Amino acid sequence: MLFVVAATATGGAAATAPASTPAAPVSTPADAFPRKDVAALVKEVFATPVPFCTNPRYPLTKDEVRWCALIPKQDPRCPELARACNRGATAEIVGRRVRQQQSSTSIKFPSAAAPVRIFLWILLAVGVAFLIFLLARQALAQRRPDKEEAIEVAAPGAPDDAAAAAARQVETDVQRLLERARAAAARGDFGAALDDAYAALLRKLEGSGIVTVESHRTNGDHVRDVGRQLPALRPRMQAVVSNVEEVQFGGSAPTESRFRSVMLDVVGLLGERLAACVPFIVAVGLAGLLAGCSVDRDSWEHSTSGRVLVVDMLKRYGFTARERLASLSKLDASVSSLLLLPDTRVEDADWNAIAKWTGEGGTLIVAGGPRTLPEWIGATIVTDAPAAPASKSPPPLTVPPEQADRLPKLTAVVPDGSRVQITTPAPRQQPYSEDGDEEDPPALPIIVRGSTPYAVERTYEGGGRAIVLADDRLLSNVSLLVDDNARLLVELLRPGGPKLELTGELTGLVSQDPITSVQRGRLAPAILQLLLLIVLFFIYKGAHFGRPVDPIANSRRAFSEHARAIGMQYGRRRAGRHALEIYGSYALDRMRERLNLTGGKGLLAVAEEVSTRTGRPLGDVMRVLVESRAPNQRPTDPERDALVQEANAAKDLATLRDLYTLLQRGTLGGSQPPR
Amino acid sequence: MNASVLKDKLDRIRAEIGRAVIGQEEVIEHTLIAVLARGHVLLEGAPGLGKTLLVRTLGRVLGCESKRIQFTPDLMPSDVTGGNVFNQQRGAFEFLRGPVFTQLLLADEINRAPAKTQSSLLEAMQERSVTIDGTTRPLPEPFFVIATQNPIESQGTYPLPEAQLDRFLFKLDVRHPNTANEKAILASHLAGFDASALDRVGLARVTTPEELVAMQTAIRGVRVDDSVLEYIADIVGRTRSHRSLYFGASPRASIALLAGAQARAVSAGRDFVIPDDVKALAPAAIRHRVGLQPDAEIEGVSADDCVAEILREVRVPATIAA
Repeated sequence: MLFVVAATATGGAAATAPASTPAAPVSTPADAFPRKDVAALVKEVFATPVPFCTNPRYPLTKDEVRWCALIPKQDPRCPELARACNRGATAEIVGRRVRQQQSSTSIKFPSAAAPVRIFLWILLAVGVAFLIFLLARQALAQRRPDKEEAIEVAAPGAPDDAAAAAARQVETDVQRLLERARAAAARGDFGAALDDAYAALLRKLEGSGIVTVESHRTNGDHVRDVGRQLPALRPRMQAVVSNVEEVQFGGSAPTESRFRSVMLDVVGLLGERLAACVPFIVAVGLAGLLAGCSVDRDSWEHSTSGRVLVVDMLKRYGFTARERLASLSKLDASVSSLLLLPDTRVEDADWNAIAKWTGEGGTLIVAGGPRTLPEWIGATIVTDAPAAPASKSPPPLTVPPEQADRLPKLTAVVPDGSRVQITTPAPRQQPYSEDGDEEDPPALPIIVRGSTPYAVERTYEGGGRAIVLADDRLLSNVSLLVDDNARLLVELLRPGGPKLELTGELTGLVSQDPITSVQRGRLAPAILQLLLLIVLFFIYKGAHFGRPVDPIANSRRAFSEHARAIGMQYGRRRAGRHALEIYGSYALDRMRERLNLTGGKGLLAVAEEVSTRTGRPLGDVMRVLVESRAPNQRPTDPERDALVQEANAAKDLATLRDLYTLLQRGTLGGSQPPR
Repeated sequence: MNASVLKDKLDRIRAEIGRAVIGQEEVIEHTLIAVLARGHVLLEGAPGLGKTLLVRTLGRVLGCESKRIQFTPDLMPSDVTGGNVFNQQRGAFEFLRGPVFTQLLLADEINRAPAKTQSSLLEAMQERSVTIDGTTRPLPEPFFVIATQNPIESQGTYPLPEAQLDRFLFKLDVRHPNTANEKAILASHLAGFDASALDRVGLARVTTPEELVAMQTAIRGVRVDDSVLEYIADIVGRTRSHRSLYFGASPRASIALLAGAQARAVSAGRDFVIPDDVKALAPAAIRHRVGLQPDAEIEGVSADDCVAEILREVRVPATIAA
């Protein structure tokens, strides 16, 4: 970027003195900053090498070649330009984008009212905050396991010792796994190398969402996953798996050739995964390239037609030359001089603002451009065919005698092709002029080429002025090398004061609100299509817009759900004791039914048989059976009540579990504890 | 006979069977694996799914002598095994061989016969011999039983006892074909295919009984890594402590799983077993060897659900997962 974005105004209104007559010297802010030696400044500017001065094969366009007849044959400031000129026109365009007047369909948003704008801003702020939150959370999440980011601990809980912990560590980073595989192969441990190479492949596929690595999934599961999602890769994946399994389960030795074969396939598969991304990368790259080409301002600014050196020279002189990004409709007194370059897009509202601003003392310099100027400027730009051939110098620019006080005697020359025509002056209307019906003096030529005006100036009531140049050639880099062109430019700009802003293609593109931004960017159709696609996607995916809930099943509830629900009801009512009694009766009945009781059906007989079958002490079994039947004494003290109930609940649950275990082991031989 | 030769042979068998039986590739594959593993197969499925056709086709393609017993409620054990009959001319008892004396026995609708008749096959299936009146007679080699049963009908059927079920290497669910396969079946029918006249299909005989025995012998040489043995033991062991199972699978299930995995490895052209072989065959080898808890049955949990849950819990050997 050539210019620094001016976010704020420099402050201070441009003090202008009203011009009484056009010919009279104007008291301007230029008097506030001292004159400098322009030639020395130009030399300083060219001290920094620029491509067209250092490259004898620098490509020049036809338009730029027309300068060749004007520059010195040998110029120490720019030694190679003359040689580049000898090659003639070798370029069509130097990275410059000509602003196209797009005729595509655009959708105009209705003007948004203040609440809507506020809502949009809030929406935008919330969105940005949310994005920042997500990014921060992700960054923190990534940072937390920094030391162990690629390590998962196989089993939760504290490791028994360092060796066990190390054994449980699993590397998940693909690159590290590949490096580990290579390192293992280098030291001859091809078994480990094979495992790591295969693990790298699986981790990569897992990261791409193609396979799921879980402890119960076999290699065959992975191959089938790949086959489902990327059928073309299945044979290669199968080859890798076969090789690995021959070592893992087939008893084959992990040899170097086998490792190389696996590694080749693994790297190939990883590459093919990347290859799948190639179209996307190419698309992004091309888009970036095209975008880069379209805004390749920097290379153009450093060309012979560019302005970087001109701006540099103006800054060295004392101008605060900067590019204007804000809309021209917001022009105010913080700017004393405005240089309107050909790329600038000026709307009617902008012209109105400029007219008002000049009425308040501002200086407008229109530097060529294919535009129709408003009548109050009193001049128009006419483009002619070049009169002089490219090899010959056109007539020089001179200052008419009546402007001798306005401009010093100079020798300047630029390629011809444009001129300024003075038109019938029109008075500015209210509110631009307080005396709307008062006629301002007409525009007068201040620089001529022969008898043809090259630059005209019109002054207004209030001290403002408008200068119209036939073209912007005085503002090109190469122009600084020709005669007194640089000095002429400075003298033209000085009356406007140092607070100079240059307009360009970016001027006015800064939007006040998202709607305007979308409107100016002509993004409305794209955004609407995107929204439509999103809606279609949501419809297609059936994505929910609220909290997902399972559909209410019409089928009957499972038996276990009923049991669980009843258990919860018992729990809420603190009726664990009651549940224990019921279960105790049930368990005792089952035991009597299933056990081969030879000593009667009494509790002791049951306990003896269960004790024999389970190997648990008789007393222990008897205690469980008795506790499941004998109710605990109910506490009467309310304060003790809760504590005792809680203690009893835990005890009852333990008894219940014991009873279940006895029932299972004693009668069925099962050993699964109750849920 | 190495793995690649076996695989070629099996591929040809599959192709031949596929000419007659359409859309039951998994059942065909598992049945072949069972045959190779010297096991018996219980096919369960609705009528009309090609169970009988599969067995008949298999007999022709394998070149084995095959017989069919239609199990009915009045079928007697001697109708299966045969028995001693008094020869009046010779004045002595003579043994008349029953249909079990064959190489491929199709026990059609086996659950229609009462338990005592079903049990007449116990010794034949396990010992590959039949003992009548104290005389043990060996069955021809190879010998395998493919039984079918209909899971829908309950009237007039007798569920197979656990001991009988345990004799089957695999229990395979024969499911309805998908639309494409059904269309292929119709096209085949239009082209003149008649399941009752397999002779007209011209099925090639790919093996001989001797070759089949050689193949069965060959798969015993398939390598099984210790980690795979542990994997099998772990899977089967967990059926004994699963909360939804009343009783778990017996060690015979482990052996069945092992033998099936070896056969599957050969079928895939490998000379070693991988965990995938075990995992693929576990449902078929275990589902009929476990008993569901009553509450699990009420909840609609099936043995397959339990096996699937166990397979999700058991850690596969050499996995890279944490």
